[in-house]
Amino acid sequence: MDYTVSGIDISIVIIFVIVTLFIGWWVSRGVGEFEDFSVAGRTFGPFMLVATFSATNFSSWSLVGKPGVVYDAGISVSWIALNAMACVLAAVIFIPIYRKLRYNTMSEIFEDRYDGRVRGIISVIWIIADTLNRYGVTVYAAAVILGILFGVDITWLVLGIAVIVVIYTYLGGLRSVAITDSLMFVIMFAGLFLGGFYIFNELGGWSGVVESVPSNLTEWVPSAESANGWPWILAMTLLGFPYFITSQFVMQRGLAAKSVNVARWGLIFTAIVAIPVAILEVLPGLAARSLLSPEVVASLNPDMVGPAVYVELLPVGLLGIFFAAILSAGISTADSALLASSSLFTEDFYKKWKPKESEKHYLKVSRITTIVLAVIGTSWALITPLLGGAVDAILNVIAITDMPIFVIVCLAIFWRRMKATAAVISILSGTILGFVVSILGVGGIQGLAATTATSTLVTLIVGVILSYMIPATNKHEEKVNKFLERIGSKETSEEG
Amino acid sequence: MDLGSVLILGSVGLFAIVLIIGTIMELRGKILFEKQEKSPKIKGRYGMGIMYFGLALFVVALLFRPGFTSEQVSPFVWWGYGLWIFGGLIAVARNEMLKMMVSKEEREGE
Repeated sequence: MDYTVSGIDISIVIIFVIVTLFIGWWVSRGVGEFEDFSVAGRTFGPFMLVATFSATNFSSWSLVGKPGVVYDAGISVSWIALNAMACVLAAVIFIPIYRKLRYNTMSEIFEDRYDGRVRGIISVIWIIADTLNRYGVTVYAAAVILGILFGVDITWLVLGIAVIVVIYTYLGGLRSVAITDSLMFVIMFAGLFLGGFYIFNELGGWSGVVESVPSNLTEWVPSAESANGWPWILAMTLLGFPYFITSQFVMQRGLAAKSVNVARWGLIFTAIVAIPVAILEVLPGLAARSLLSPEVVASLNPDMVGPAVYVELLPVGLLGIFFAAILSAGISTADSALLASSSLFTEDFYKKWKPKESEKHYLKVSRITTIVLAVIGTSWALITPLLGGAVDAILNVIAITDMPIFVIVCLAIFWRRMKATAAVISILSGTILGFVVSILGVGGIQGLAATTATSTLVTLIVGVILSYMIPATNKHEEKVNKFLERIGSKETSEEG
Repeated sequence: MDLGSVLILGSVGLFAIVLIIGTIMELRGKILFEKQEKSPKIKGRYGMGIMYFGLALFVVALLFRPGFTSEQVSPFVWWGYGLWIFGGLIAVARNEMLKMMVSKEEREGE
């Protein structure tokens, strides 16, 4: 398939890049301390929160990877985005707790309730996962598609995207990331809206789209014989909980809200906004059945099915908005991963090494860390093609590493008997066994469900059994009492 | 275009407008939902009740899939999903909290 990109479309993408960099510079003027950089001085309102939560959740994979999957698997793929239902639990129970504990990074909870070992292990897992898996792979995914569309070498595009992300993240930290995310979310919405409008117009609305594909592709809940069957839907729903509730990558924004009430409403709205977005994401994959011939689809890289539908439908000018949306989706996820990792490094390792430095010093360290991690993540992006199937690995990594962490957070808050040593051993057990199950391919086409169930249950069972076996010390009791007292303390006026 | 298309595109358009206006307001310093006027509610937590009922309905409907068709279980799955979000909305609006999240002073005041 031949892609001819007009000068107008290229101009739109260039303007978008210039505006993004300008915002990074503009916002950086207000960043003077580490707290400004990591939690934006806790100044976000609910709408900016929705935009930045949603933009982070909506990655390049949503626009370029999913349509190819939907082409074969059908409408049930939308459950990936619909797992934003976890935001509701975060809003109702978890965010008020985090805000009372007044953390800068999510990993602080592990030292507060357990000890430095648990915090260290989890920080390392998150820094590696966010830098390599989320930053590196996302930059690579965006570069692949833009490379094919613009006919530019992928290496140059990976480097170009990395430079854009680093500049505005380095300058403005979370504030800059959130404001650019808001702009990007509008562009992504525009891309989805335009794509949806043209597809509906071409195929006769939603009912026309549904009628144009084989009936098995329109099942919201396929049987277990399908790779996207009900066990997979259960696993996807479960994976939303660590992603939206305990990961530094996403929850950093909740910590940055102006008040607990703002954070709660922001999370509720994010869950609502995810519903139409989830449906619009799968549209191009379904429309490809009618708009592209089977021969054309067979000749395409699966990631190109979605872009091919848009190239087929969208006129010059509007196509430029779609390209900007792909770039936005990629960099809005990559910036969050980079920022999460640099904040974790500064808070969890550097501040412990040099605890008496000024906030300005920590800001400088955080910025330097941003560059170092970007170099590592970009190198990973450049070797991603050699790894094979790396983009699909994102879900498995969440199942293997993030589910045990979620279980440990729940036990920390809701079960006072849970011990620090039990937490260390259960996290390692759940992660290692989840990894083994994933590598061995246990569960066949329901492998993700098997991996999720293994890492979750092993962590839970090992943690509970060991906590019963390990006697409670006075130090443990004191720590738990102090932790629970802080959760049960009265909100200050500052917290709203 | 049919009703389904209008609802999907309309909701995306509406959300986009609300988010643009809301973000601009926030950048100018006007933050909505900043203060919670209601005291924490730990008794009669209807919102949380609806949430948990919705989650149970969602999970049970999925587990029943092996014995039924997608058309039969999907409405229950969607009702469960909707009730979960609706319950959360009510819980946040009423400032519902778990007992452990509220100070003794606030508990006595309820």
